Order: sequence, then structure tokens, then C-alpha cells
Amino acid sequence: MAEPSTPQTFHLWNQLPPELKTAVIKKMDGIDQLKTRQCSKTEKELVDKLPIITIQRIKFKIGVDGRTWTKVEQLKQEDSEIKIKNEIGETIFDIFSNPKIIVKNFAFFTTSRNVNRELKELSEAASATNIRLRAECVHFTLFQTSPKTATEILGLFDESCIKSIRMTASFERVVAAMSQTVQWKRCPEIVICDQKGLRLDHWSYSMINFSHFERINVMMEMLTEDEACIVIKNMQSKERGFFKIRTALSIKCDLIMKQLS
Amino acid sequence: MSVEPEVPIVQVEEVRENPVLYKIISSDNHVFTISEHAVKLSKTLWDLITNLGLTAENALDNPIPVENVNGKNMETIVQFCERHKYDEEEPEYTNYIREFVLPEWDRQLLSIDNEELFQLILATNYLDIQKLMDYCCRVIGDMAKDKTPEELRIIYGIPTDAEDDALERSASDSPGPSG
Repeated sequence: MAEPSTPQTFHLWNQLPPELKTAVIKKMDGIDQLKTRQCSKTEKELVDKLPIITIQRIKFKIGVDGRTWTKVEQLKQEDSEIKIKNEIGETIFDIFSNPKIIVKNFAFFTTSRNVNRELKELSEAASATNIRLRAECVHFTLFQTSPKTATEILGLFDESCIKSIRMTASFERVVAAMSQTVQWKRCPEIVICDQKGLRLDHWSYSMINFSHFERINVMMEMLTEDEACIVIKNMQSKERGFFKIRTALSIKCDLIMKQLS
Repeated sequence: MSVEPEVPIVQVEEVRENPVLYKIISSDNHVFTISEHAVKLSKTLWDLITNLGLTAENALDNPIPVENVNGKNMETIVQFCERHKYDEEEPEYTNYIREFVLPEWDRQLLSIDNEELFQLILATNYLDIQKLMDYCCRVIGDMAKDKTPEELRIIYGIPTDAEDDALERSASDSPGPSG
């Protein structure tokens, strides 16, 4: 006997009481909530009553062939609150003009070294609309970017929303510049992962810039005993902390223990 | 109250300590036994048990009638509660990358037709079982994934505003009972 398959339609939707319709809508991704909103006045009212609309994932890419949207571009253009246009700036900030919308994972790709023009447009749009990108977890690929570009990109995000910064390993000067932003300082988690095929031999991050993080997961080529102590002492002072540092340098544990004691 | 069960009583295994069992009678007089850990997942049932003062000694002699839930739904609910009775609470810290995927066992359990799913979600809401409610809502909500508003109207049978207005007009135009 064939296994039962999950039904793909639910024609009794209209018989559900409003509170159960809302419970179902709450389980949808923000993109699907916004599309459900377009179905009828009843569904629009239900979605508009939600305190928050969480979009699970957005990919945003600048450089080479311009900008691309994933998923969001499927939204119907007639929706007054979500306009999908091709112009940079207007598009992305229009989405966030609805203050309820927040993105869980915002992947920001820079696919070429020179993204100054696009970034300038984005920054100007952010200033003009006074809107920042609201994302809980921001993913960057910043290897080729300059410290200035990296800080400008991070500056596009709303610092009150960021809960995690995830980036591919970048030069220490880029990380040092990013660490001066309010977005970095208010974020509780950092994940810096390896760049496949790339090896950076002579760099290190100043762990002082990481001391506020509650969760750290970084790949480092060099970590001195002093810096290791900063990390450990800092984590000891936190009620709930987590850190994981992978390093190629052999650290003398006895020196660390001596310092800690 | 005399009850003749039409389906076999659901047997549960209580392998850990505290093997207290309760009896529940569905609206169509099917009898189910459920362990204490499992029944605690239903806030409504647990409140009832607490208020009735049922104990390990008298629990099986005092079946709990649940008028709003039929035997078929109750069977699903008991299976679900027994399966998830030892689940730990979700940790506060959530992984931002991982998206929720309905576990395979639960997906199979909830692969039921629309009418059953509709009745089950009403029953779950009445019995106040948070996790089952979440899963039922996800099953229905997942149907909306990557669909256009036009497709959603078909999937959920949602009339357009124009169709809705036409229905309302025809209802108001139709003569009343007095003609």
C-alpha cells in the first residue's frame, strides 16, 4: 500500500474560525503571508493584524550583473506595500517601509571588488527613506571588499535587529573597521568561516573587538596566548557564553593557565 | 456510565517511572488510555484532571468524557501525545540558518484528508495541545509555499473580493422565509 501523502490543498480554509486562520498564517514564511494577504479582504485583515512578518531568507547581490532578488521578486507588484522594481535602493527599502517586516537571514553578496556606485545608491536611499534593513542574521561575502565598503554595507542594517553576523574570513583591517560600527557592537553573535581555497597566512583579529559577543565561532590563523586569555576571561564573565576558535597556531596551554590563575 | 468501546483500547507503554494512566472517552464512546506525561501536553485535559482531583489510585476508575472530540481524532491525539511526551522544551537560542522541517513521523500522522485535518485542528485547539497545534498549522501553512495569490485562492478555496461581494448580494436579494 502506498504511503499516505500530505494533502496539497485545504478547501475548508473558509470554515476555520479567524483565530485558527491566524494561527496557520503565523506559521507561514513572511513572503507567503504577504501573498496570502493579497487573496481577499478577509485575509488582508488577518495578515495586517500580525505584529510581525518574518521573511525567512533574502539573497541580495551587488556587482557584475547588478542586483538579484530571490523569492521576493515573486511578490505581486500591485501590492501597495511591496513594490518590486528594478531600480536599486527604492526596491529594497520599499520592502522595509512596512515596519512589521523583518528578515531572518539576509545574505549580502558582493560579487566584484568595485561596488562603490551601487553601494552609494543604497546608502543614499537608506538616508533618504530613513530606513535600515531589518535582519536578524546577516551573511556577508566580503573578502574582496575594502574596510570602507564593508562598514558601509554593515551600516545599511538596523542595529536593533541584528542578532548574528556571519561572514567569510576577511582581512584583519576589514574586520577591525567593521568592529567600529554600532551594528557590530550591538550584535551578540559572530561566525567567521573559512574561505574555500584561500589561505591567509599573516593576519589575526584583535580579540578586544570580539569581547562583547556572547557567541563566537571564528577561524583564525594566528591567536596569541594573550588574545586567547582575553577570549576565555571574557566568556567566563558571561552568564551564558559560547566560543569556538579554530587556529593553525599551537597555543601553549600552560601559559594561558598561568595567566588565568 | 456504561460504555462499549467499538475500537480496541489504545495501549500505551509507560517504560519510565510514574506509570499513572488515565482513561478518556471520546464523543462517540471510544475509550483511550493515556499516560500522565502524555496527557500533560493537553492543557485542557490536565486542568480537568487536576480539578477533578484524579490520582494514581482512582484515575482508571474515573474516565474523562470529552464531548467535542471523536474517536478517530482522539486516537491521533493520543498517539501524538505519547510520541512527544518526553520532548524537551525548545532551547531559547535558535539556529538562524536551520529552517523548521516537520519530522517524518508527524508528517505521516498528519497525512490525512481535509475533513479529518479540519476536525483535528478544532479538537487540538479545544484540548489546547500547543505542539500538535503548531504542527497542524504548519501542514496547512506549508501548502502556501512558493505559490502565487491566484494559486492560493485555489488551494484554500478563497473567493476573490468580487466573488465574495456577488455572493453577499445574491444572499441579500433572495427572498426571506416570508416570501
